[in-house]
Formats: sequence, structure tokens, C-alpha cells
Amino acid sequence: MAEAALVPWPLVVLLVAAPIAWAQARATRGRGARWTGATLAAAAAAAFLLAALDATQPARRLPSALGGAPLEVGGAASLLTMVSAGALAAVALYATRGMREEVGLERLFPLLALTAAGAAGIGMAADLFQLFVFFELMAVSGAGLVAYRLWSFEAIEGAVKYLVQGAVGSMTALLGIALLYLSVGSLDPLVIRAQAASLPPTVALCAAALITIGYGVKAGLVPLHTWLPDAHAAAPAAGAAVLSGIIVPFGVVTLAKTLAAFGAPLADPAGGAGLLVLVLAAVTMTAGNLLAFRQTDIRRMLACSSVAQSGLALLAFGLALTYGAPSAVEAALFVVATTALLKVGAFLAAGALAMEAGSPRIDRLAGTGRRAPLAGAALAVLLLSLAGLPPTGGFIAKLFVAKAALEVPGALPLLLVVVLALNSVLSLGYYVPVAMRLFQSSEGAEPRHTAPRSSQAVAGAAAALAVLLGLFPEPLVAVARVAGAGLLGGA
Amino acid sequence: MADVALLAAAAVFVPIVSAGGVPLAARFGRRARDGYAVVAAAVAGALSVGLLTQLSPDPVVAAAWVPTLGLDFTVRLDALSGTVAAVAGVIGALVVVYSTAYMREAEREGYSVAWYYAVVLLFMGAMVGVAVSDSLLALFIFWEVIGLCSFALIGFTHRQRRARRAALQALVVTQLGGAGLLVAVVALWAQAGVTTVTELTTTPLPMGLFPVVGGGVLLAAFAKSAQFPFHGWLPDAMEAPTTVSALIHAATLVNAGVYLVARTAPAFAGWPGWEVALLLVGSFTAVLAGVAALVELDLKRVLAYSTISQLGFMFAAVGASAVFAAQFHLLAQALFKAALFLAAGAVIQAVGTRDLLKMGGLAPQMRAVRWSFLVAVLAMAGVPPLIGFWSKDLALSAVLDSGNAVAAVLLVAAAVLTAAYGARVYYLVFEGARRQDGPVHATPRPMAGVVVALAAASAVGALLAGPMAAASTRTLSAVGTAPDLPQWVEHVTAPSAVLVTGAALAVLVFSWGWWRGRFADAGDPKAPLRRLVESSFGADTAYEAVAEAAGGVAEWVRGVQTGDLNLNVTAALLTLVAAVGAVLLVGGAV
Repeated sequence: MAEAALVPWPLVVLLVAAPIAWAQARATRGRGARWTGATLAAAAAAAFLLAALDATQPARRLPSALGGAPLEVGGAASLLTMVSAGALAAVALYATRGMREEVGLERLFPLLALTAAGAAGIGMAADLFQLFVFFELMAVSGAGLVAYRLWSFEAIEGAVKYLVQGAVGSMTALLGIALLYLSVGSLDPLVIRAQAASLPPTVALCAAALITIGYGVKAGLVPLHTWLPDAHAAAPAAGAAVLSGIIVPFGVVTLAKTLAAFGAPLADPAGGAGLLVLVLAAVTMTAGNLLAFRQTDIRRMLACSSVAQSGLALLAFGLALTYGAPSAVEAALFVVATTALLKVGAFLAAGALAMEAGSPRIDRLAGTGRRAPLAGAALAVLLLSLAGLPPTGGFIAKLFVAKAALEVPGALPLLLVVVLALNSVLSLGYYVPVAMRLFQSSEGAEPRHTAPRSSQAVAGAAAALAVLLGLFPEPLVAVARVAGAGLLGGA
Repeated sequence: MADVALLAAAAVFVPIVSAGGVPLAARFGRRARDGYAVVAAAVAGALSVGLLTQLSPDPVVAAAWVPTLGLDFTVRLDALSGTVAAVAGVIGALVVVYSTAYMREAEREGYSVAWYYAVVLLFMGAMVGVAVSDSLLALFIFWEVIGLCSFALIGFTHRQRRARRAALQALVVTQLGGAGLLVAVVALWAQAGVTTVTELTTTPLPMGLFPVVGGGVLLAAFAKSAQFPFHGWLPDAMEAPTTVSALIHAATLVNAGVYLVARTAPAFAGWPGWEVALLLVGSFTAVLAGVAALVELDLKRVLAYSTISQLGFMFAAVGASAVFAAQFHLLAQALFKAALFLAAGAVIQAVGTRDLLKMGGLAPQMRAVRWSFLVAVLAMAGVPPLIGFWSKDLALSAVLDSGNAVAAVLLVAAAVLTAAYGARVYYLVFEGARRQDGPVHATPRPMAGVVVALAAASAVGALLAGPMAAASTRTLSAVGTAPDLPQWVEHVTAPSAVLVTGAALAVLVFSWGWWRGRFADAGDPKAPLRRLVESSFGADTAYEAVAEAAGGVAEWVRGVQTGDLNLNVTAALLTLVAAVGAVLLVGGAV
């Protein structure tokens, strides 16, 4: 496969799919999204398979192609590309029928493709600036998804928040990268790592803090998360699925990949930056779960739970960066992959049920699980999985993070695991009532049959996959092990 | 050995897989659905009994599960796990037979009985899974699945707000315990490389792990088996159909906690906090729940408190290193409590209420149910030669021998209380004059048959003691304390134990007369303890307070997020300043 991998084919496929989707949607205007969605899903599936071919190979750098900077393939790059392409395929399939009431689909499909391409690029990027560029590609495409319903106040409000807070974050992160470049003279993480020990501590710590806070905005870290609920409520279901399934978790990946360049100062627990990341992770998990209580809109509730999931991913990466815990990177990748699966599935199922109910309000969703059983069962399973109950992928993800933490001796990791376990119990308090409400009887309400079967089937497949992942985690564990070995430069 | 693994896997997964077939069978009508459920449950029950033919002291690797991480699915079939699995399978199957008649009413109210059968089958399979899993992680997964099943069944009558609330409370409390078990399991795996129960009980653990692992196991077991201070959810779970109560109280859920401590006991034998915690929590809970059962006026809640009390005996027995006593009392409790609950279900269906003050005088109309209930009550109170006499006296004598005076006194008091509340509940339901008019519906045949069978089993179940003790001695070398017959008789007829039984019997006779005078007319005796009991001695209040506080904090966190973009950006920048400052400070760069 070495020759075939000289070109980053999955990325190329996703980038090329964007203009094709635009052209196809323009050409078939008026007849809806069916074929455009199918084309895009096929392209995403192709990208997924191309990445999967390489997934068991360790990561390696391609010769410079784009603007002189190298890209990585294999290992984590493959896994992250598979996650992003898989999420895109699910969303595109959902949109073939699930978005038929929307207008402006020629904007939707290309934006989805570009977001996924940006995320795949984050997986492949081998230097810090390239990483920033792909991150921005993903983030800016996401803004288009939030502002999709241009005519509504909600969408404009959500998009302005997204853009302004995102811009502040990006500038802050860029400042951190610039500071690093100024001191080391290179953007290559390997070069920076080699010199990290000789950096003045003030410079290194300032740069690390700037990068953490900067990328932390997109990663939804508390208290930088405030854009999430508005953005998720403004975006259409397919857009919200991509926001929570791709943009937020890949924001965490970007943050971790950038911080990995620091090596020593961060790895020294007394060095402060590692502690900052772990504390932020614990705060983010807890606050995200608390925020999700008493939300009345299912999309806002899921957005808040994305904040909590983000804290989980950051906890795993933080353990890897701070203590060099060997299994923490694998655990983090497992979390990113399951988060994408669960969040994409949950938003799509919620979208289908909201169509059935005619409203995304949680009290209006009562009984929709009886009228649209597939989507209802899917959402119930996905919510329980997000709460971390076995036998689901969400449980295995939390298990691996807890194990990675406890492999580090000391009181702080144990404390973090206790926080993680208590958060799991806390989250039951809002996930379970919603899951129960879906199946309460709603006397008098006739099935409207407005939730398309194909859209329900996509959500159902995500739920089935979540359970399979809980019962047979071996394939993803094996891939994550290969990927984890190289992701943070062997952190 | 391969057939052992195959048999164990079949006992676990046949009911789980057949659960998926219930909705399909339901398409062919009610009879097909009920027939399918009965056959599936009977097969599951037979398989679980079949496990008893393959007992062995050694664990068997059934399958590789996550090879990359070196995780296998290992099963262990010895006397302890075999007992728990067989109880789950046999009583579960009887409950399903009973349900074919009992669930008619729920069906008329529009609830999905197919869903009910599916969850019950899943519940049975997962409970057998808890029993036979030697892998700690598999044990934990089955442990959580039975929690989910009980949640689904307690909330079965989902149109009632109380049922939904009780289901959520049960889930949250048992999950809190589950969190403790998870931390324990992961700590063992990550820090000691221990992934199976057998390794846990045979390899010496680093001292530093004891508090985390032992504490986590205790937390999980106390929450699952509703021991103080986690007892509040079990009486509230009485909102479920009575068959579910029988299943949870006799066959499955609450046994899991006792099983877990009995299973892991050898690992913590050298840790003093472990034994004291078990002895004190168990005996204290036994008394507390006994008092509650004495003043409760809801038939099912009386039985629920009685379960909590009997579980206290088992925990105390494990604390006194008498694993066999706990194991035998678990069997005894399963038999008489299943009989009591299913008889109570027949009574409730016959008179249409759970209120003890509205019952009374049912003996002439419900003869079979009445005699079964009486036998089960006597077995519970420890009247010889019924099974409860042997099992409870074995537990009592172990605790009396343990040298912990507080636990011994409490447990003797609990034994006396058992006789008192048993006499009271029997009297209030069946004797005296009827305190409410109205028809008494006849008990359908399948229901009466199951109740009589269970009562008969609790009468003669003591005959199982010999084979059980022999199997324990053969397969539980690490656990010990399974007496042979002469020792057994010596134990049970020791002066202390006989004294306690005598006291219990005296109370039984005395309270008979007392309740009789008390309820000659249908007045409501205002017991001073009632209000305290209604809030489960504060456990419900505490749960409410915690839930309330979580809600309050959530509301506050939400209030802080105003949605104002200026504030959002300011927050981001302030965080940046704070982060840079904190990092520099901690890093010592300033």
C-alpha cells in the first residue's frame, strides 16, 4: 500500500466531493436532496475505506506535497479520517430524506463535505500551522452550517456567537503558535519537542496556556463553551450532528496534537500546564452535565452533554500529555470515535423525532418513540450509551479512560476517576427521564409519519453499532492501539 | 472442560437471546406470546439447574474477549455461583408462569406485556451472568444490565408518576454503587493486573489497594442489596407489578449484592474494616428494616422491608466469615420471599388494594393462598423444621461466635422482630374480620399452583442443605466454613441459637394475641414510627435533598450562562488571564 498512500487519497476524495455536491445540488434543484446525498455518502464511504486500508499501518509522513508541508498517513491519521468520513456518510444518508423540508441544500452538502475534510486534515497534519489551517477549514465550514437557516433570528444569533467566540479563540491559539515559532524557529512538533526542554519556562507555559484557551473554545471547554447550545439549536439536525460529532471532538484533538509539541514542560506535573488541562477537563465534565439538567430543548440538552463528552476526551488526552500514560492516547482516540458515533446518531435520531413531534421541545417529544419506534429506540440506546452504561461503546470509552488514569499512581488520578464515575451517575439524571419520556403514551396523538424511514434507519444503525462496540470492542481497540502509538509523538 | 463453558454460556445467553423473540411471538397472539415466554423461561431454568451438575473449583476460559488488552470471558461454576444462578433460573421461570395469569390486568390497561416478558428473560440471563462470570469486567457488565432491567421493570407502569420516580431512584442509587464497583474493578486491573475473581481471591493485594477495592465492593453491594443507608429505593420500587417485586426480591437483583461480598470475601479477610463494616451494617439494617416492617401499612412495603432485613442477616453472616450461612439463607429467603410476594400478588388482585387496613378475614375465601402464606411466614420467622430455622440459626450462631457483641445483640433483636412482623402481616391479611366490603376475586390456577409450590419448597428446602454443604466443601476451598451434618446440628442446636429461636417463637405467639386485640375493629393505629418509616428513615429525604441540590446547582450554572455574547467573550479572555497566571504560578516561573 505504500505507493498508493503517496497521495492522501481520503482527503482528496472529501475535498473533491464538496464542489461536486454543490454542482449536483444546483443541477437537481427542486427535486430535493436524494441523489446529492447519495453521492456524498458514497464519496464519504470511499474515503472511509481508503483510510481503513491503512489503519493497521503505523503512522508515517508523506513527502511534502501541499505548500511544502508534510502530511501523515496511517495510524491516527487513518483512524481520525475514518471517524470523520463515517460521520459524514451517516449525515449525508440522513439528509437524503430528512432534510427535504429545507431549502438551500446546495449550501448544506458542500459545507458538510468541507467540515469532514477539515477534520480529516486535522488527523493528517504534521506541523502546527497546517493543523491550524485544517482546523480553520473545519471551523469556518461549521459556521456556514450554524447560519444555514439565514432567514431566522436564531440562526444569525447562533452564527454570530459561533464566529465571534471562534475568532477570539483562533487568534489566541495563533498567538500561542507564533510565540512558539518565535522561540524555536520551527513549526514541526518533532523539532519543537527536541528543544522544548531548553525553552524559557515562561515562554513555554504562556504558549501552552494560549493554545489551550484558544483551541478550547471550539473544544467546548468550560467556561469557553457558551456558544454551543445556541449554535446547536440554530443548526438543522444534520448540521448539529456534525457540530457535536466532528467539530467539538476534533477541536479537542487539535488541542492535544498542538500541546504534544511541548513535550517536557507539560509532561512535568508540577509544570502547571498539564495540571491546567486536567482541571479544565474535570470542570468541563461536571459543568456540562449540570448544564444539561433542566434544558427544555433536546438539541440544547445534547449540546450540553457534548460539553461533558469533550471533558472526557480532554481528560484522556490530558493524562497522556501530563503523565505519558501509555494507554491514555488509545483511550482518548476511543473516546473521540465513540463520541462521533453517539453524538451523530443522537442528533439524527432527535431530528427524526422532532419531525414526528413537530417540535424539538422535550415535553413535546413524549410518546414519539411509540409513533416512530426505530428512531425512538435508537435515541434511547444512544442516550444510555452517552451516560456510560454497559453494554455500549460509551461505557467502554469511560472504562478505558478510567483504566488509563489508574495506571498512574497517585491521588490526583484516583480523584479524577471518582469525578468521572460520579459524573456518569449525575448524567443519568437527565438522560434517563428523556429516554423514558419518549415511550410514554401520548393519548390522542396520531402518528404523523413525518420521520422518514431512511433517516430513522441511519439513527438505528448508529445505535446498533454503539451496542456492538460495547459487546465486541476488539476491532476498534486494535486500531486505536496502532493509532495511539504515534499520535502525540509517542507521548 | 469445554462443555462447562458451553453450558454456562447457554444458561446466560439462551434467555438473553430468546428475549428478542418475544415481540415476534406476540404477533401470533396472546397465547403464543405467553407460551413462548413460559417455554423460554423453563429452558433457562432447566439450564441453570443443569449448571449444578458441573460444579468445579476451577475457573474456565470460555472465550477470548478483547485479546489486545488480554481480556477473556472466564466462567466459574462452584457451589456459590451455582446456587445463585439456579435460584435466578428456577424462581424466574416460576414467576413467568405466574405472570401468564397475573399480567392480564396490566394488558387490559394497555401496557406492553411482550416488553415485560422480554425484560424478565433478559433479567434472568444477566443474573445468571453475574453469578457465573469469573471475569470482573464481565461481572460488572452483567451487574449493570440487571440494574437497567430492574429500572425498566420498576417503571413498567410508566403512566404513573410514582412508578417513573421509583424507577429513576432505583437506577441512580444502584448506579452510585456501580460507580464504586467500577472504580474497584478498574483499580484492580490497572494497578495489580487482576482481571478475575479467582485472581482477586488467590493473589495477595498491595495494601494500598484495600480501601479503594474493598470500599468500592462494599458500596456496590450495599446499594444493590438496599442496605443502610441505601435502603430507600427498595420499598419505593413496590410500585412495580408484584411479579417484578418477587423477581427482584427473591430471584435476582438484591441477591447480587450479597453474592458479590460472599464471592470476594476471601480477598479482604485480612482487612479488619471489611468484617466490621459487614457485621455492623448488616445487623443494623436488619433491625431498622424489621422495625419498619412492623409499622408499615402497605402489604408490599412490609415484604420489601422484610427482604432488606433478611439481607442484613446475610451480610452479617459474611462479615462473620460464614459464607455458607449467607449462601443458604439466600436460598431460604428466595424461596419464602417468592412465596410471600406471589401470594401477596394474589391477595392484591383479589381485593384490589395494597392497604393492610382494608384487608382482613380473607382466610375462608383464599384457602390455598392463605396456607401458603402462613407456611412462608413461619419459615421466615425461623420455626423448625422449615428452611428458615436452619438458615437463620446458622447465620445467628456464626455472628454470636464472631465476638462482635453489638452485631450479635442487633441480630437477635432482628430475629425477634421477624417473628413479630410476620405474625402481624399474616394476621392483618387473613384473620379477624374483613375491614372492607367488596368481592374477593378467585385466584387463577397458574398463580395458585406456583404459590403452593414455593411454599412447599420453603417447608422442605432444608433437605437441600446436605448436598449444598457437600458441594461447597468440594468446590469452595478458599471459602471454607461449610459444615458437615454433625457440625451443622451442633451449630444449629447450640444453646444461643435455640434461645433465639425460642424467643422468636414466643414473640410469634404473643404478637398473635396482640394484633388480634389491636385490630378487633378497623381502627388505624397511629404508630409513632409511621412517619419516620414513610420517609424510609430519612433515606428518601436524603435522596430528595441530593436530587434537589443537584437541580439547584444546575439551575445556578444555567443562570450564569446568560447568552450575552459580550459576557461570553469576556469570560474567555478572563479565563485566559487566569490560566496564564495559574500556570506561571504553579510552574514556578514567576
